Amino acid sequence: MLGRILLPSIFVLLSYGFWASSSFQDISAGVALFLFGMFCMEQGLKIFGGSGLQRVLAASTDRLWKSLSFGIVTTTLMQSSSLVSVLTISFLSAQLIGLVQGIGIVFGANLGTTTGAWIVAGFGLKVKISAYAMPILVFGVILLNRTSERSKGVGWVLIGIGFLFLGIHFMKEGFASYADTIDLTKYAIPGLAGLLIFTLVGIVATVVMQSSHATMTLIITALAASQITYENALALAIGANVGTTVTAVLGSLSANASGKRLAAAHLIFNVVTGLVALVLIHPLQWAVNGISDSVGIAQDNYTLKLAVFHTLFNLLGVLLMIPMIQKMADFLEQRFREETGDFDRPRYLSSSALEVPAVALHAGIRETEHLFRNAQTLIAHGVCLKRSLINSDEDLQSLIEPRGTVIPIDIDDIYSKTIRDLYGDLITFLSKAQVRATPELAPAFGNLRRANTEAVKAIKAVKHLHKNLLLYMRSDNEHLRREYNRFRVRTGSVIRELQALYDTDDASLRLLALDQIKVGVLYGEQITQQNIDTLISSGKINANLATSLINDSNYTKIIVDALVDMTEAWNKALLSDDTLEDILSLQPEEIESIAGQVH
Amino acid sequence: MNRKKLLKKLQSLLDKPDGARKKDIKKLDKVVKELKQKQKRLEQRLEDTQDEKERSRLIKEIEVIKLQRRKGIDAHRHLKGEHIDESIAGPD
Repeated sequence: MLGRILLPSIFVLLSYGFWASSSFQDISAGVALFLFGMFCMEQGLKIFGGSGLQRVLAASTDRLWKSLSFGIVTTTLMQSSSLVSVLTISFLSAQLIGLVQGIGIVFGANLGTTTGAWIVAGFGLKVKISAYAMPILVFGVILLNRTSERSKGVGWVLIGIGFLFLGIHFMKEGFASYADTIDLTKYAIPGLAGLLIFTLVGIVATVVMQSSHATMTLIITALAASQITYENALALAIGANVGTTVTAVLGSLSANASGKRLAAAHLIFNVVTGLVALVLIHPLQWAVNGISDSVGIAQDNYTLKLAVFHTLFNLLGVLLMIPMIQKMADFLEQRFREETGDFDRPRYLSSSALEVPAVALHAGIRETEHLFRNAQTLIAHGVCLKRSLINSDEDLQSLIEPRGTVIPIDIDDIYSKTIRDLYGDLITFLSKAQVRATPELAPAFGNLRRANTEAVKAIKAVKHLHKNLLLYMRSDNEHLRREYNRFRVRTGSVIRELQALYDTDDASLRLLALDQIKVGVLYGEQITQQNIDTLISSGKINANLATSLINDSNYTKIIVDALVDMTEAWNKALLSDDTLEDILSLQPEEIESIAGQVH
Repeated sequence: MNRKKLLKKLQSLLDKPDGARKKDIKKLDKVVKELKQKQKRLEQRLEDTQDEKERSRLIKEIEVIKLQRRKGIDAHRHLKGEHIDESIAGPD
């Protein structure tokens, strides 16, 4: 409802502004170009930022100070705290990092984002920035037309920087021409009222533009053209800091618990920091003057003094909040819990992960492993084998002779509770991620989809096998009982062997070891086939039982083949390039030949 | 994968720039070396076991590794010309 009124109102106000003033047009165009520049930069950084960040992240967030530094450095380099926040949420959702580390990165990002004010105030206003924008744009467009994804990434970043510069230029020009016609400072409000009103204006402006960086640039260019007072600019900067959290909070509404926790931490940090800055505005101004004097910033250089203020109050916020970070994490973990009902939900997927293909792949892999665990438990119980037995060293062959013990389960019910939603969400996520993925990563998403589809195929086959298995694994006909128990042993053995494979760290060796399992699977099939033929020809089972046995033998084949295939597809997704493994792997006829050898 | 596809895969590795090809060779050598160690472990187990079923299973596993290593050595030769690193090839 609010959106339906807000957007047309903004359009009407802007249209009136464009009609009334060409300077307003320049400023608005500047803001639009600036925001578009940020969008282009984020596009570029996402192309190659994810995987690189993931590597750096693993090594640099084990301590709080490292998380803080990571937040500061990445935000300074990317000049986008929102991208760092999105990445942090996705890393947190994929459980690459813990909540304390995530909060540390967000705090650091708040400090890192203050470098933007320094760049604009120290560089953007001092040189003719538009002169740099044009060549950068040209280089960017040339690189964008290249086929390499990395070149495209650099191209987007350069185009982004070009538009950022162009945006700053238009904002500068707009305020400069305003200065000739109107004096906006006559709307300045002194004292506490001014502080509160301009803080509110800063919040609203940032919510509308969805970028505190754009608001800060607007404030600095207006301040440079003397269109706002220094005191009101300080209040606007505080407002911009608080306003930026609204974007994060709105974005987290559809996120999982991890995203909500981080957005709440962001909100708490910025609101507390904003309140402290408002209460301590005079001591902070005094401190800014002292620091400016000591580093040689002129008394009347208000833009740089604003940058000092912006950094100082964010630094104060970080220093105040660091001692409380663990308590904050505990509180947020209590407050925002994953929904735990009867139905298992995705643990690692988030819409933010889709923003960066490398992170989406990591989340997809983890979630697929989650589905595998559920699927293997369901399959094991479906053939009346406990996971504890499969995980033990006990010889499964000892199960062939005795009557089987029933594990009472409702496969449909467990499927709907532990697989169906998870599978649906995973396939949707992987499809979306594949569309957005770079050509190098796209096959990995295809492999993950195949892995999940194979897992579900195995479950469906278990469902078909289950009814007869319950009946015949306890049959008085020892020949029939033996064959049905063999189905159970074959399934259990493959799960056990795959389980052992998961403990191998090297994905290449895992993939090659699958050939050994394939030989075993085929050998098992051949033995079953021989046994069935013998039972039929010797008349030990009648025609009806023979039909059931043949059909159920096929279901067992589908189960074990699908178990192997899903592991193979998952492994291929883990390897960025599986050409070497493909070359070394055995061909079906080679596997057949080894399986058929008699020793 | 038939022979034609296999050659195509090998060709795709040969088409890579020198640096990337060297990296592939290094990775290939590492995998083949690890396979050799795995084969030795399995052969030791084969010597130690008397159980016929277990022996049959181990023999098949060793066969798989031997074949994979042979393919690895062939690929290595293709990627590096005729030179064969004996420490990787070793006896079967």
